[in-house]
Amino acid sequence: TFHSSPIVAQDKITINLIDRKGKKHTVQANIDDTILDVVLDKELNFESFGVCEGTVSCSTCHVVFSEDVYSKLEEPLMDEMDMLDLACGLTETSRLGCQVYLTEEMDGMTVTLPREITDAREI
Amino acid sequence: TYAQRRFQSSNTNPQICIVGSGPAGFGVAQFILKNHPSAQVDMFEKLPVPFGLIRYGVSPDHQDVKNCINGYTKTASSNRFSFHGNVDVGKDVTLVQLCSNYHAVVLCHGAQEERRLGINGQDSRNVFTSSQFVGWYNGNPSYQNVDIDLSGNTAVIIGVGNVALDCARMLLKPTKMLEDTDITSSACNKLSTSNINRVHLVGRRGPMQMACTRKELSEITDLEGISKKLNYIFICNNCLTDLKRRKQQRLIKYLKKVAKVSPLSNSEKQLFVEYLLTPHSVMSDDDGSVTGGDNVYDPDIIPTDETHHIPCQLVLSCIGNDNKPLDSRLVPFSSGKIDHIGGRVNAELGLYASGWCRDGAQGVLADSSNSSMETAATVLGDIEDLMQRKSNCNGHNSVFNFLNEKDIVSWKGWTTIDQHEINQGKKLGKIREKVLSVNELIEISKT
Ligand SMILES: Cc1cc2nc3c(=O)[nH]c(=O)nc-3n(C[C@H](O)[C@H](O)[C@H](O)COP(=O)(O)OP(=O)(O)OC[C@H]3O[C@@H](n4cnc5c(N)ncnc54)[C@H](O)[C@@H]3O)c2cc1C
Ligand code: FES
Repeated sequence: TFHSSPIVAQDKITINLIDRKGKKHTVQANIDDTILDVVLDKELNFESFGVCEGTVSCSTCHVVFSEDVYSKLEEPLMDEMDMLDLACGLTETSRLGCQVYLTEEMDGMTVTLPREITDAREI
Repeated sequence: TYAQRRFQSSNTNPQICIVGSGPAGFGVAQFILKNHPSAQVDMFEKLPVPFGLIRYGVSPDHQDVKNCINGYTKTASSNRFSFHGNVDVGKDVTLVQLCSNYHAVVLCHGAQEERRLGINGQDSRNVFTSSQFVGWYNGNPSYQNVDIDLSGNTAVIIGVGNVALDCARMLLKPTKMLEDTDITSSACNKLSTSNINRVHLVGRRGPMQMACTRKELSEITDLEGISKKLNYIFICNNCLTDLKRRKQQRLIKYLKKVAKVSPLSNSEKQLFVEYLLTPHSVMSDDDGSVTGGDNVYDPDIIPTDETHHIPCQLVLSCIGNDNKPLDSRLVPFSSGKIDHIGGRVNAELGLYASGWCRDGAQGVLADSSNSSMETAATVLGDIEDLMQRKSNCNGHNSVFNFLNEKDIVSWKGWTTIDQHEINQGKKLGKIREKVLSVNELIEISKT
């Protein structure tokens, strides 16, 4: 007889997403999914997020990372750099959510949607 | 009775009207439907079909941008949303009538006025605005009579923004790369016989003020068999550090790179990018003529006496669109923009605005979406108050009385058109073949 061995490799991590109103959403996410995948999967329904459906032609999936996570990300490709040119409220640690793939090391991280746009009026 | 029920429901549910069905209009609709449990959203569109510049502006070779239509279609599937195409607000129904029948009216009608060059000879043969050229190849019914002559070999495009680059690319790109898109077959056929092989892009200011992105420029310069002459000597290096100018930084870096590797050769097609030239006049023998400026970074241009003549057979002016208020008595307006606070235009009337009509004709999809989030949030913040003050709003039930004689295209009518166009496209091996006349669109919507 055999004991079924527990799966050691973790294929899910926990991440926090801060939406445009400043509200925190904590979700379980698959490693190797993009942040856009997570937003769609979990039906987070962020306003005007990912309108080009991940084809790197809208920049509405713009998210901001913390410095330490950002510095560990793989370099953005030219396409992503091009769309970041057009992102609203660009920061030094901005990336496109449809181009960043989740890795094990991102467990527990927090990413933020730029919110300045809705600051004018909270609902 | 029915009348009573109708009256009741309109009293408890906010009735919100959106004028225009581009990204701004759909952005507002999406936000309101999502963030309010019972608001009713009616959208009025001048054309029989939705999506504004996504359908009639964005290039056929930028299909990915048009993916946003999927999201808009999802929004439109809400049972609290209704679409009324072929209704020209200001003509078929006035803004006053809308304001008195809806708790809130949100203007999202874009910037429709073509800006003209304002120089001698602008009405010469084969001189067109970008709206005309773009509207023509994208199948906008208003521009199907544009008769562009492509038998000459040189075109001058005035302006160096994204739209100018779209136009240049459409002139230089092999039509093989366009024929399976949603470009109209008639435009594609005509472009395939074009003799244009030299395009001059002419900017009034320097490379630092170019309103295009690196990507847009590279989409032309990376085309096979095109040699290019890009002038980059007007660059002011110390202006290149700020994050806000990231777009310029990357553009300039790219300009330098491309300019180095591609000295003009005698290849088949040639692109010239020229700066500090202000359009002076178009000469009657159809040649373009421009004056030289003298300026490095300061966006103010100091004119010189020097003029520079560019022989050509086609001139396209891509200098943007202007805004015109729908009703100048109700809509405060200054320097090409609607005056507003967080999207609120007239608190008394419950009038709001978003997108290009509010902010001027600049920026991309993402900017319009942002504008819409702000405006929609303002509307929802005001809505309780509006419902108390304007207790007699019956939404489209009343507005339809004014529209008696009109053929109104519903969302269902649009899906019929959509399916028809996709089917026609399939036969030709294309994404879609657009229907080119308003009457035909309306007829098909009824089938
Ligand atoms: C040539 C061109 C190419 C572009 N390419 C890109 C691109 O590749 N990527 C990108 O992100 N952005 C692109 N843009 C920008 C993008 O199209 C705009 O940011 C966006 O469409 C503006 O949205 P809007 O809703 O304010 O206006 P519009 O899209 O213009 O929509 C306004 C709508 O209102 C309707 N309307 C007007 N008057 C009335 C009336 N009186 N009554 C009822 N309805 C009315 C119009 O018919 C139209 O449908 C491009 C723009 C142009 C001109
Ligand atoms: S979803 Fe459009 S760029 Fe990422």
